[in-house]
Amino acid sequence: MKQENMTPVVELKDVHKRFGSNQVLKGVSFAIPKGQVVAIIGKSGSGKSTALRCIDRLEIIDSGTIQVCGHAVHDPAIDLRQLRQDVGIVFQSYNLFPHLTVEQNITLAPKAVKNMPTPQAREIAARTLKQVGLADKAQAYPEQLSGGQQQRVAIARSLAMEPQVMLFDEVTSALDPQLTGEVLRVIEALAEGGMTMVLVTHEMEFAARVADTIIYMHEGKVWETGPGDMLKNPQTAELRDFLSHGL
Amino acid sequence: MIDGGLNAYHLQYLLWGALWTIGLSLIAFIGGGLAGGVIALCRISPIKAVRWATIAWIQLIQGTPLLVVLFLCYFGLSIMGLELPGIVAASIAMVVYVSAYLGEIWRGCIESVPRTQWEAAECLALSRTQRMRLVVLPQAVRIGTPPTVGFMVQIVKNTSLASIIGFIELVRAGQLINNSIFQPFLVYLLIAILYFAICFPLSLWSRKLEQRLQFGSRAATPSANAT
Amino acid sequence: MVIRPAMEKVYPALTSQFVLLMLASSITSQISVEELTAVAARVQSETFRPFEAYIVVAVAYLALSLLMRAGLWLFGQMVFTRQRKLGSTK
Repeated sequence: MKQENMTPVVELKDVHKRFGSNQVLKGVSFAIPKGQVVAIIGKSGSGKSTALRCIDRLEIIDSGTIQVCGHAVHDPAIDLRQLRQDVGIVFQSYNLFPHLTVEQNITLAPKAVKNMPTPQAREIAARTLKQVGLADKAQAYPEQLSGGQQQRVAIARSLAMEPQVMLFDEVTSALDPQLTGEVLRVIEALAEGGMTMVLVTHEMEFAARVADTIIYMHEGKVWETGPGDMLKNPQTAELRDFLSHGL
Repeated sequence: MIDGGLNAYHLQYLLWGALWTIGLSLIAFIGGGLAGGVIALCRISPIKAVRWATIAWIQLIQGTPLLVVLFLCYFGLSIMGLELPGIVAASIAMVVYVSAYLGEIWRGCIESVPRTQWEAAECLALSRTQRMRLVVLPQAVRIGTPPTVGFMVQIVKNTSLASIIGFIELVRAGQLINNSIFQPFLVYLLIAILYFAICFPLSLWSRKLEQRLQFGSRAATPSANAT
Repeated sequence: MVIRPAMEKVYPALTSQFVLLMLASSITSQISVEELTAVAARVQSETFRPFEAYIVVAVAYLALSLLMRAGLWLFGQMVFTRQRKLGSTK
């Protein structure tokens, strides 16, 4: 899974996806080089979450190709275990395991998937918890934490598997406004650390500041893409509309 | 037993019967629990044939009165030439009966673990068995404990049917005593009190468990068909 | 009115209770009520073929419970769906 810097870490080509009679993705294509941060924005229903989920094969596409870290995601014969070790995903509803402590949440996958011995796994847990600023919460249960803290634990949990790409699916949308800051700071730190990331988000200023590329999706297609300051100069009417009306 | 009244020997006999009731209930719960676990897992198997066979079996057992299942086991065993004591026939019938109901309860518990938990585990590269064992089953067990304990009450009450095929448990003990002292109301009242003494703590415990395990139960808690 | 939507929600659980009650009625055969299980006992004592008698009775109960479930479900569809279609829950 070693990539040269030139080959994109994530590449979608002409991806189509239908749910029943609803054509959600109508030919989506983009490529993400290593170390880049890409933010996907758009209205609800524009297909941005679906596109993200297709990258980790949580949804199976109807046509087109997706290459992620050297894996052909559209291929039914793909080694899913290896793909999911290379791709980390953080969800809107954190999805922590409620019956385990924070530390156990983080060490579960390295121990089960990589057969890592417990002391080593706990070291990794301590390191990732420090990275997200929750080093003292290792023995707490998820229900004892605030939403922002739980989301940061979810990020630490994904980081513990040392993925090559991190996907963030509207991770601050379910949080109270005062809690989004702590999560965004963690994401920004990750970006500065050189992690390749794809963020589906509604946080426009954050996207403009942190992302190398912004993709605006509209009705299942990539409508406009550009660097962070693209949001100051929207080229298409739809993007102008979207920015002025918020969501 | 000449004086025609209820005396200490009778009470002792009733308590022995109660002990056998508890014993048969335990056999039914443990055996039925193990079989029920298998049935629950088969019920959600990715293999269609296994799933449909399990559904058919569950519908069959749930659509037949326990009394009829009991008679079938009792007479069925005799036909096969096995002359086994009443407790074996009663145990087999109870295990079959309990496994179908517990299997359905536990299947409901497994399915009420939110889909997002499955997804999160999947995205951490856990295999299907690992997902079940490490993430879903621990949560399902917590959700399932109150209705399972509630169903234990049903098991204890249903063991009274075993008296019909001659197994000496609480009700049969009472019948035998009644045959000698002819005070049915008193005897059956005592039997009812003993059943209550066994079942009420179980009901209380089930309700306490339900209150305590609120954390994961944003999804509806599946309850036994008749708790 | 609260009763209608409440009834609609409770109806499936109620139907399964009805079916369970019907199955539980087999117990009354022990106090000489002439119901299905008692008939099986009588047939068995006359023909000395207990297994066949009870198998037939088990099938009969199964058919009864399936019919009851189907019938109650149909009834529920008629009574409650009409309200839903009309969009009124007065």
